Order: sequence, then structure tokens, then C-alpha cells
Amino acid sequence: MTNKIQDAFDNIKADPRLTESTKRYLSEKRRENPRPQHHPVMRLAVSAACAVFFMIMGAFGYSWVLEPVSYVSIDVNPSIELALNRSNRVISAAAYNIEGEEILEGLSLRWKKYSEAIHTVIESEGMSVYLSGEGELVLTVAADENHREELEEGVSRCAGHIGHDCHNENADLGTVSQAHELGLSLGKYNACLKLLRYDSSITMEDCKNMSMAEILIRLRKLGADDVTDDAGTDDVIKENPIKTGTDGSDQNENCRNRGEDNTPLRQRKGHHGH
Amino acid sequence: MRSEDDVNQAVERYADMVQRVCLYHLKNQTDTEDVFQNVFLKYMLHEECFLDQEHEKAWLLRVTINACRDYLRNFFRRNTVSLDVLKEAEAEERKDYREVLEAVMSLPAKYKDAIYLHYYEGYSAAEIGRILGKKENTIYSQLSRARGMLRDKLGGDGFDE
Repeated sequence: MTNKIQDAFDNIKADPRLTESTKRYLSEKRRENPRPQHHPVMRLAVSAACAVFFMIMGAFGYSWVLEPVSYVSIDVNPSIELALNRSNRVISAAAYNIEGEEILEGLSLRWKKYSEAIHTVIESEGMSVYLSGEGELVLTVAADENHREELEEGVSRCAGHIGHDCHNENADLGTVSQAHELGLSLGKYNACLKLLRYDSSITMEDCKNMSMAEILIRLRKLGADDVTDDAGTDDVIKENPIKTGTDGSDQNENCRNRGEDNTPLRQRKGHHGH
Repeated sequence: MRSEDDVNQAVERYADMVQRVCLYHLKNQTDTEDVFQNVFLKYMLHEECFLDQEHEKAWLLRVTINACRDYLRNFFRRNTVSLDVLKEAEAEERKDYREVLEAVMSLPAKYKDAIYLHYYEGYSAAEIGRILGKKENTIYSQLSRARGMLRDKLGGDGFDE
């Protein structure tokens, strides 16, 4: 029976007219659509060009999504710093002391909008211990030109909405790397710089070992509550100096909104939440 | 795109094979001609090199079977298919061959492929599996069922292997 199947199929042959007409059909198709015969070198070049294109796109995607361009530092005594991408979303959160590490444990901040991340940190159980007493919260922003205005205003609004004694500071983006070299968060480094300008007897090493609260109290004692300067300048403009007690009991006063002041945006203090 | 010489040689070499596969699937000379031309058009546009002639043949078989299935999936084609092929060939073929062909053509498509590739082209179940993209055991099973159906239709022995 196997032979019968073979014989039966052997009887089926393509009609010579069909093969000839097919050849003609293909020849016509070739003329209609003369696709170039790609030389192997040309193919290689095209492949290489595609590879380069995808590498560039990958690098662009990386720089857009994963490259930090702005920083928001959250300092009470715990020091936490959020690195933000061009979309103002958190790409990493770093703790700069043990207290900060404890707070970050269990928090998922990656890809959150900066405002949401700030609220998540502030409202975390670990942070509530530091904010229930007299702890003052400082939000410090360092951003490039394209994001500065939006972030500074956004963080200022955050500071206003948070129900604790808090204010916001704006710092130069260049100070971020200096802060990190010293193992400090942007916010604490910014406060240290300010203290060093007011008290020459204190060194940066001394300042590193102080808590954020201690630095703020010292600044108030020195009357440095309203300070307008750019990093590296010694010009100090004092507006409405606030009399402070040695125990920091006027912190609520310090958190008053000073939106009406005419200090430069780079160092203008924000408001607080009461 | 393959050169004209390459394509013409392939048409000469595989015309009968493509014709057989088209015919037992489509049972219609007009549709067969359409698919026949499209198969070789695909061959002309297929730029990858074949390892050898066997590779080329297996590729053409797979393309032809898929082209026939695609063609039959078309609603209008499926509903206007005629069984004229045997009538057209009647004058040229002996009655017993026609009986065998009719029996093979009446099998379900998947069994027809297995029977043709095994009994006519001489492929093993493993090779058929690779061409059709199915497991070897599936092919064994299809061959066994197809043999049973042919035995029922044609009677007699000879379908045991």
C-alpha cells in the first residue's frame, strides 16, 4: 500500500505551463519591486548603525529615568536625602545617619513623586518619634535650572502642609557632592555651612558631630534665622531678626511663613504648618 | 531577493512537490495555481541562506503547507472549494491511484501532511515533527490514526508500519 501511495502521488506533476507562467510571474514581480541586493558590508553597516542608535536611545533613556538631577534632603535629626530624576521622581533614598537608616527601613520610595515621598517619610512611624517633641524639620532642595523653580515651590508647599515645625531651604546643586564627600546630607551640610559663617570657632568636623537640632539652636542664638546668602559669600542680610531663647522654644515662630520677604529665592525660607 | 537563476532552478526542482501538497490540500487547480505562485514568490523574497538542499526542501514544504492552510482559512475560499481536481485528472490517472488519492485527500489536513511526508517524501516522524512544528509522538499518533482511516476506506493490509 505504501507503493500505491507513492505511485498515486507520482502521478501528480506540475503542469509545465504552470511552471513557465510562475517563472514569468516572478520575473514580473522582480521588475515591479526591484529590491536592492544588499551587500554583506552594507548589511553590517546597517546593523552597526542600528546598534549605535539603540545604544544612544538606551543612554538617553538612562539619563532621563535614572540620572539624578535634583536632591531633596529631609533633616530632623534623622538625615535622609532623596535623589530625583528629570521627572521629579525618586530614584534613590539615602540615609546619612543611623536614625535615618531606621526610618528608611521598610519604606518604599522609589519612583514616587517627590512630594509623595516626603509625606511618606514624614508620616512614617519612625519619624513620628522625632517630630512629636521639639524637633524641627528642614527640607532642603538642590536642583538644576530646569527644575529649580518647580521643586523649590513644591517643597515649600510641602513644608506648609506638613503638620510639624518645619521650613524649607534652597541650596546650590554644587554643594551636593561636597556634602556627600563629608558623609553629610545636603540639608545638614547646608546648615553646617551657615553655622560656620556665623561662628568661626566651630569647624566642619565639630558641626558634623552635632545633631541637626543643635545646629539650628546655635544658629538662632547667633541670630542667623533669616540669612540670605549664596554659598561661599559672606554677605548677610538680616530681616526681622527673631529673638530666640536658648532652649529653642520659639521654633514655631521660626516657622512662620515669610513669603513676603524679598530675599533671593535661593535661600528664602518657606513656611510651616500651623 | 534571490537571483533569477536561483528561483528558476527552485521552480524546476520543487514544482512537482509543491503541486502535490497544494493539490491534496486545496483539491482545486485554480487555487493550487495561486498558492503555487505565492510559495515561489516567498522563496524569491527569502534572503536567508539554506544549509543544504534538504534544508531548502524542508523550508519549502513548511511554507507550502502553511500557505495552503492560510488559503483554506479564508471564509470565501473555504466555502467555494470544489472537488474538481480528480475530475480534471481523471483522464490521465488509473482508477486505483485515484482511489488512493481520494482516500488520502479525504483525511483531515493534519493527517494528510503526515501521510504525504512519511509515505511519499520518506521523512521519519522526528523529521516531520520538525517540519510541522509538532512533537514526534504527535506525528506517530497522527500516522497511526491516518493508517487506520485509510485501512477503513481502502481495505486490506499494508498500512502497518
